[in-house]
Amino acid sequence: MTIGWQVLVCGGTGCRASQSERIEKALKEEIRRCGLEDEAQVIRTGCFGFCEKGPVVKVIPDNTFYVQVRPEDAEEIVSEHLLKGCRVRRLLYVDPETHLRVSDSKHIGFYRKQLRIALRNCGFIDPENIGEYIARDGYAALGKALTGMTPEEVIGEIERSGLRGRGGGGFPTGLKWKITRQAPGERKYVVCNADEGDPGAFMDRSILEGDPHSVLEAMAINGYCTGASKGLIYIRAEYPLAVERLKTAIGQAREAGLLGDDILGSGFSFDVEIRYGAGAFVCGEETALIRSMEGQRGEAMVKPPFPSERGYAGCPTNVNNVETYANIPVILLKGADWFAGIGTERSKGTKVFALAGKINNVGLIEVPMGTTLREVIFGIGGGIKNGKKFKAVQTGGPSGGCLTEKHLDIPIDYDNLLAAGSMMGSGGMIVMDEDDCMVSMAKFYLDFTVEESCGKCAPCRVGNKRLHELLQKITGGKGTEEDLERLRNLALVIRDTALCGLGQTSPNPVLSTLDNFRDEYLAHVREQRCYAHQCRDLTQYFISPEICRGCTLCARACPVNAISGERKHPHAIDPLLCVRCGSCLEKCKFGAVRVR
Amino acid sequence: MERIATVEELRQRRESYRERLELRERSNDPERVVRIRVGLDDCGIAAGARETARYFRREVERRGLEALVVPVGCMGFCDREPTVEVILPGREPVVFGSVGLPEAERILEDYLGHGTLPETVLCLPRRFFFPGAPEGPGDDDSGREGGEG
Ligand SMILES: Cc1cc2nc3c(=O)[nH]c(=O)nc-3n(C[C@H](O)[C@H](O)[C@H](O)COP(=O)(O)O)c2cc1C
Ligand code: SF4
Ligand code: FES
Repeated sequence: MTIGWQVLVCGGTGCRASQSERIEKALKEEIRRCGLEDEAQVIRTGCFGFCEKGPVVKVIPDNTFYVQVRPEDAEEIVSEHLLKGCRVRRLLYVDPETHLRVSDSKHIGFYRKQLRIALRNCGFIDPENIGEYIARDGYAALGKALTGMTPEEVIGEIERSGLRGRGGGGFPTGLKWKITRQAPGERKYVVCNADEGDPGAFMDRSILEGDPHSVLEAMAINGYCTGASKGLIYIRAEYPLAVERLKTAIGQAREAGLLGDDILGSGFSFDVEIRYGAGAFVCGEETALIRSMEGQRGEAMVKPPFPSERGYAGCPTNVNNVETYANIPVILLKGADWFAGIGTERSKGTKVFALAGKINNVGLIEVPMGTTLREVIFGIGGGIKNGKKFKAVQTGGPSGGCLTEKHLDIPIDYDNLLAAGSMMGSGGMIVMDEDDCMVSMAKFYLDFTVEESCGKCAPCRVGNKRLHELLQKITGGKGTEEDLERLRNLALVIRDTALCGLGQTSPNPVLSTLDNFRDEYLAHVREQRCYAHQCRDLTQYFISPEICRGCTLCARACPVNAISGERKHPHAIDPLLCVRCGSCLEKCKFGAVRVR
Repeated sequence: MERIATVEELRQRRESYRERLELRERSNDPERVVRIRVGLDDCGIAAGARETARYFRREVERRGLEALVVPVGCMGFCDREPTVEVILPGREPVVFGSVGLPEAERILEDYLGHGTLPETVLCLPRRFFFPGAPEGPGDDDSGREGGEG
């Protein structure tokens, strides 16, 4: 019997957390119960990117996209959809704007404007089946390189494609490969940076979970180009599923002879090993990463020498990011010109972003370089949650900066983001609305940097701590206008004197909020007010006596008994007892509780 | 998996796995291929639509046709079941009624093979049934569904 249905169940980390494994099992059981085994297949894929609406189930051939599926829904999916051809409407995605149900992912705003190159196989193939990768032209690029191209030709192709590193720096990938190739040395190494320490970012994890072979293939291609026979993947141990999938993929590739000795009869040998990181942000920095792999403390080193010259075990080492590698096989198959035709003048191809924050569609997206922030936030992201007003977007994670309304129409690429005072980083994108306090935001990122600094150099170790203290002072209502100057001066010094990228970029959130939201800082230090009501010490709750009906709800909700008053008479909050938790505000039905 | 020793073997291996992916590739880009939409639901099934759908699937595979068999819900012609809608790329959809296995074969031979409407099968452009209807009857695969969320 011929297979007529394929039911793709998301097996990414997000959906597994919401029981997608049980859904998969229930679907298989139901299919067996209905005698459809010969007609319907259940396939576990990687992440679809729409994790917030997960678990996601997609039915082929009518491309029906089911969201927030529960194990109990399996029965209806099989008995209505697979048996009778009728879609289960209640499981379809509801467009937040039109309130209509949309059945096909192609018509969901979130997917419509995406162009998937690095994520081409995520949510499409079974990552644990090398056959499905091969069917999608997997390892064909490696075959093409090994049997039909010289290393120089491959490097030339990557150079002409204009691909730049997706790990944050944006260094031209072809050039890096060339430098590593030309570096003298008997032994060389290929390293894949899968540390992904940026809070909120999960693009590398998704690629490794959803399409691990694309990274292995690219690493082998790199080995052929640079003259390395060994690849190392540095991945954080907190990514157990990605590690599992990688191990499976490496095993399958070895068995198929696509890793190991004499690959495809070319005489070229290459193998890959996994190295585990403990999850320190600084270990994502390439020199710290290499030291960590060598079993030393994860501390950054002075560059030069660059890893391409002197890296792992003192040998020339090519370090690239997961997403960078994932682009390589497609470029070799479709050609540099095709790739260079996508994107902006100096940033080619696409970029994967992790959309998060106060936005309707949270998830992983891939768009051509040059797409505007507005298109990403309001088109793909579906706009701000609960109809609130857009305030800012932080790109580049803790190393990046806050961009505002006036930046919304700049086309996203490496250079434009830098010019605007932020950066591409690894692709985190956190959207903030009117309720977010930008001073607190800057403080939040500094919390992270202070925690993650390796401590090797003083500007970062001491400077960031002082920056953090200044911010604490300001959000605590004790800041002065001079503190704003101090903040800026110190930030500039850290930026210019820190040893590695962590310290050099850590003041970015402070500098960009100082530039773009100076009024907010001034309100904090001049008026001691936080208009977003996020800084507790600057916020006061009070009850308007004209409106209060004395219903006592607030008094009962207050966890510290700060509210007093008689029944049917206006109540009052004792500011000395109040811990500003907001419980009374939530409870009051008459809008009598006010904040300032 | 057995060792793949040459690029030629890699190519063969790709072909052997192709079929598993074919359904997904075609569904991803349905406008490119012939779409054969078979109305299932209760009335269709009672008239043998399941067998018709299976027959189409088997034949599409056996003949190596660039086609996608899509089971859909009721198309609304309950006295002419099984109903089958065929959309050739770039052409108006055509609806066939009472499609048993012999009729299905004619559709494949005449309409998919030569682009001519088979004489022995009841067929009408679907606009005839639904004048002015922009989309197909019943459940369509335009991806937009009516109704409030
Ligand atoms: C503090 C810090 C953290 C970094 N974290 C990562 C990371 O998690 N993943 C990554 O690929 N690159 C990270 N980088 C960039 C790497 O140093 C390096 O530039 C990159 O892996 C090179 O690969 P690419 O050229 O493909 O981008 C980080 C850099 C700094 C300064
Ligand atoms: S900048 Fe920070 S993380 Fe980098 S070397 Fe200095 S102390 Fe370590
Ligand atoms: S994990 Fe399922 S959509 Fe991301």
